[in-house]
Amino acid sequence: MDYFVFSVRNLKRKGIRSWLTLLGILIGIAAVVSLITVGSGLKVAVNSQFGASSTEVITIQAGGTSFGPPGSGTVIPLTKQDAIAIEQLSSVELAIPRNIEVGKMEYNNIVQFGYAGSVVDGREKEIYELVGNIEAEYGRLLESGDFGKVMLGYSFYEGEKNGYEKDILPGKKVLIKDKSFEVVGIVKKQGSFILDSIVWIQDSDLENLIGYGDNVSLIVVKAKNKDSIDRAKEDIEKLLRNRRDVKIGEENFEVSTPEATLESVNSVLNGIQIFIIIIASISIFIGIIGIVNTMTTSVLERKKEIGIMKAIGAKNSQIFMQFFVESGMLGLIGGAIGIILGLLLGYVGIGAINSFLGSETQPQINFILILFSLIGSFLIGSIAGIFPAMQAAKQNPVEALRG
Amino acid sequence: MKKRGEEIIRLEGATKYYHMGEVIVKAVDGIDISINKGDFVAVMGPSGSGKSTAMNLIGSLDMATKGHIFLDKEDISLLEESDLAQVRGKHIGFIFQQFNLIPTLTVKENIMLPMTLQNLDADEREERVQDLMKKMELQEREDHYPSQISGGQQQRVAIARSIANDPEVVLADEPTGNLDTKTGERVMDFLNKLNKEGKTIVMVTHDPDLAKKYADVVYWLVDGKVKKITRKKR
Amino acid sequence: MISKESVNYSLRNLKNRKFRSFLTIFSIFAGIVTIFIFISFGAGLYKYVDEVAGSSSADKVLVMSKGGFGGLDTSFELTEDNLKDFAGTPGIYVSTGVYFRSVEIGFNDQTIYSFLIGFDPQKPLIMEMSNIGISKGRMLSSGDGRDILLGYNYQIKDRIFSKPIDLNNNIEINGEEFRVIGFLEEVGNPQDDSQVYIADDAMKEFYGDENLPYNWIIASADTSNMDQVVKNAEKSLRKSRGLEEGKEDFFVQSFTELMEGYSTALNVIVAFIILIALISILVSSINTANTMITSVLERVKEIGIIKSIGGKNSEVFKIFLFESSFLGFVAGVFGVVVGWAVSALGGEILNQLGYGFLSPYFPLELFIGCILFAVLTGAVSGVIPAINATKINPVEALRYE
Repeated sequence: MDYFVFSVRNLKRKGIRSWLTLLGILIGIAAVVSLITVGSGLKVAVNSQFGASSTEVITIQAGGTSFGPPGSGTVIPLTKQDAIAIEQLSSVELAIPRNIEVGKMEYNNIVQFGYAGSVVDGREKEIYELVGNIEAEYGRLLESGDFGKVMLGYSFYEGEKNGYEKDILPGKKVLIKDKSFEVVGIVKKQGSFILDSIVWIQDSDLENLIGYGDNVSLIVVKAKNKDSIDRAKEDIEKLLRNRRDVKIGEENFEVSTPEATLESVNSVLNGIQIFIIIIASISIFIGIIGIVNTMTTSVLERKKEIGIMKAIGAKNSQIFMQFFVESGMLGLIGGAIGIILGLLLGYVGIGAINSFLGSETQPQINFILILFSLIGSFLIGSIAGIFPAMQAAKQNPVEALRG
Repeated sequence: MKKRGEEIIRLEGATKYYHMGEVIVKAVDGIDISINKGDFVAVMGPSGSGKSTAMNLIGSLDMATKGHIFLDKEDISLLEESDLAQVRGKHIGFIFQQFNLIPTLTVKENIMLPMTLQNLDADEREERVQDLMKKMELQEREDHYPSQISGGQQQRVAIARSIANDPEVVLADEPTGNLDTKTGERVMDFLNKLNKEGKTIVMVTHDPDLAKKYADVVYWLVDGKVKKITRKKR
Repeated sequence: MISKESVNYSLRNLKNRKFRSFLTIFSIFAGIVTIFIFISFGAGLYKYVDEVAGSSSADKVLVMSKGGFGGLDTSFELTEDNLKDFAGTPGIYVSTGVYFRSVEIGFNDQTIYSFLIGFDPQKPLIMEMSNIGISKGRMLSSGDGRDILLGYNYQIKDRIFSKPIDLNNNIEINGEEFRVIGFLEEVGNPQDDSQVYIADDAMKEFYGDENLPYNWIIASADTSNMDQVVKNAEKSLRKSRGLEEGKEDFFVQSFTELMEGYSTALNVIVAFIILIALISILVSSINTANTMITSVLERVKEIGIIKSIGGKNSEVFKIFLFESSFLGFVAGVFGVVVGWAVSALGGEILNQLGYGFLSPYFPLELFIGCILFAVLTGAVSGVIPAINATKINPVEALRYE
């Protein structure tokens, strides 16, 4: 029995009502697929905000209230001496202290507030490698000995977007906390909202402006190799516990591998995504009700046909299968169109996120998502049709023929 | 394979009640019918006499409330629905007054349907359906839908469908009821031909002339009981 | 006129098609429950924002640093002179400086990080601004030394520390001992309910600086002229800090302005969620339209009869429109009842978890609005089928098998 061919013909026969039923499932699936696509894109975009740092990098911060960038809200800060001690560890290749501070920058007679990140004189190249692909888009990178000079993140370049109403080009001078600094270069776009708006400055210059002494906001560490990351983490924790005189379990500092940071961010994003998808799924549920409705009507309308089929030898199971498959087809076709629509909407959504966050996430076609959605739609349709199909199969041929 | 003349259908004390709201109606009340292979039987009676119900019982389309129904010595009143479907599909062919073709299937597909239901091989089906269409002179209408052909043609499709699986018995409920005289005659000729080829035909009709012309045996039903049986001398 | 007879006729029809009517009602019902729940939580949030910005905060003005998140710029300092100059602004009544630092809080061998707020107990403007009072114990007074006021959550087991803190317990701030003398009322969000407060002189002593610079300034001002007062205050403070116009390193905002900022963000989030909930309503409408179309098709003969005995087109139209609207109405009533139950339950659970600020709110308009919306959904979905019903030709209809 070619259930599928007959299904399509039967569905076509009822024209607008089949379409309306399809539309219901279509909308529901499109909503869920688009939200999943945008959600995944959002996760990637958010994750990319944390820079393309290599997986061997460990970040150390002092404990505190976690509002804002590393170093803000700490109670007992880390120090340069801590960084030196950590670098001595055998499992550690480099340990570089960095300071991230709020500051005022003036250009073209406009004042704005933002963040500056320090580089240690002589270790610039190591830092650039650790943080990401720090390369100069315009001008050159900040180098050893560049005192009185700064390097700016990509979003400072264009006058229309940097808030200063004038392009900032290499060679220009800016006022940071009322002191003049020359811009040596603009960094290549990182696709991260955070990294693209940082001012890169020599540590000694920044210390003169802020006066943090030996305190540091964070220490970036590179383990000897990928395999020694966990050991390095342990060693660092032991060392710092000693230096800061705290017991195990009472650490007032945090040693995090990149996965750990992303993990907590992602679990929040996942939670939000699941929540929103549940809401969207309600519409799929309602679409299912539509299928049940349509199939029930279908069975009633085709009572006589069912009688005929039984009269010429159709078994109950064959009648059941016909309606079951038909119902599944409603789900499948609606789902297929819904998936296409959902993916389209998803791309649009990711485009919006990109322009908002300055990221450059490429929409990914998740084949598993598509496959599951297709199978799911067919199943949803079929299940919705079980009850009506059973009704169909149960018909008494004589009464059914009577119409 | 039954030989001509042996009993092929037997109803023993068959009774069928059904409920119309609060009232119980006795459609047939303890009827005995015996049909031999190759017979052309007519079941006659006024409206409400139970002739259609008797036909439905013979065809296993309906279950008897009391009594037994034997098809080829097998008591079909004891069978499960799926087995009954088999009986209907393989051993019995139905022809209805209202043709009852499936509107969404073409002529060819309608004729093929019983074979499709029995999961017959595609090539076999194709061969047989061509055969049947030729026999019933329907070849030019192969791809037409029931709504696109005349009543007479529809009934011919129904006849072709009824013998698609080469059943031993063909049941026809007022086969010419919706046709004009000339077309009706043509249909009866086809039925007669089938009978001559060895098929047992049971026909319900209210037209005594029809019965007289074609039937070997006539059962007269009144108020759900067998009133009279007449046999034609061969 | 919708006569009693036609209403009866419609109702009986719906009853006959019980299963299908039920399915349609269920569709709209699901959509309405969803919308009701989200609007009630949204309304709750708005109410919370309104309450926080209650009468005692309407006259408040805040000065915070421009850089950093939420005034957490540790290099931003407001001096005593700044405060004096600010206080001299026409339209500013009472002003006071507030300290705001991150600290490590220890109790019973556990430590957490939160914010320590130091204020002048004789000018408790910060309390007025947040509209909260004392739930247990007493308010701070000047000269209290190492006495401390805690946010509400410290009293509850496992909300912050596994053991609840009680009055006169000692806790450690950055390793030094303080005595708990009171707890604030519950604000309803975990952030505010975990803050810690001491008197300003205690703060200066703790950080060992007689001239400890303020982080914020809070003042009460003349509400009849708030915008002008804010402008004046900016001017005074600019002068006091020697800055040019447009180059301030601080914000002066009226509390209402601040709240409006939150409302905008809130609007976006709530709107987005409701948009998604509306998708459900859209699908419900489709189902309803489908049901009504089927209904019309099934009753073609009936419609023909009605028309042949003198029923006008408008009568037929009204019958079908009434039916679909009624389905919507029933769905709406059940929807708001269930929605209310679910929201209330959810709100109670959130409250227990310390997120009281997310409690839902149930204005009467919400109930009426949702029911009306349901009726409207039913009506709109039924319009086209109703129009189709009127177009039926009685002669053909009577012939229809």
